[in-house]
Amino acid sequence: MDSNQLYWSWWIGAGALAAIAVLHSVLIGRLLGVSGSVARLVDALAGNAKNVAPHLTFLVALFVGAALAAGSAPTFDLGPEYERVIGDGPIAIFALVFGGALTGFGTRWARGCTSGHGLCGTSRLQPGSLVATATFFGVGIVASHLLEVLS
Amino acid sequence: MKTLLFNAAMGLALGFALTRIGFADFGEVHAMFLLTDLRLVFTFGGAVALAYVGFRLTAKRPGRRPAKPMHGGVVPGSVLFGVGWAITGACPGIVIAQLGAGQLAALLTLGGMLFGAWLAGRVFNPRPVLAPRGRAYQD
Repeated sequence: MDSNQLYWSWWIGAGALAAIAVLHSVLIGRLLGVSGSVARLVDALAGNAKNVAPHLTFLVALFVGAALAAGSAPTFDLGPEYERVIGDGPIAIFALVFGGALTGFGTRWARGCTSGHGLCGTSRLQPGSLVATATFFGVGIVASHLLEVLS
Repeated sequence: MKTLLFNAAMGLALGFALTRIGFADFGEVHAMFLLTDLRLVFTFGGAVALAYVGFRLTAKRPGRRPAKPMHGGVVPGSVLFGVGWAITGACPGIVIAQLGAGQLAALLTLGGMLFGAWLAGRVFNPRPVLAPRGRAYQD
């Protein structure tokens, strides 16, 4: 598919993400960090955290914003490329649950994900964030090439 | 109330932007990791560069910007996350954007992610406490 027609040029996306990161800090007084909000939500469900309302509001709004941007009917699956690279049926189900668990566990262990470390941490030159971002991008590159060989 | 409104606005903006950028599209993320399409690489690198300027310009504003030092979980946690992102196409923000964009299979990713985050909380916070606002969860 021609992503140049479907999706924003890189400089529009870069401006949007940077504006969101900085505005989030200025308006809310706390840095953007999705895995932190998810951790707060999970702990609240287990009865171990308070002040979950701002985080829940943010996550629900993220869902709504994506729905507004997509403006198309639900597709159920992740597209033909997912089927080609990973597979479908039980293999796809296992890969999504297992991969999701790795992401949930790993981002909490590392205390940050793409937003907290990758965007808000590297742009403030924070050592932990620079190492985390180099690691998860590097591992993502290696793992994706392996998947391509295996598929 | 104002905080909730700002959180709603930022969430809406991030969900909209991630989807229009194509971050919620497995094929785009896979091409980014294969380095066969550098659009998302430039998007992210450009965002970091612009945010560097933005954070510098707003350095005197009130609000917490905690340091992110090295600690023992940075490398192993990020290794697991890198594998998880490669095989699901989703980071914690993207999985919610995928769902909003109508890719219902991302419910499986979300379920796994919530379980993983819960398990990590059990492992690394053996005695969870009612965290005061903004203390324990800075990410």
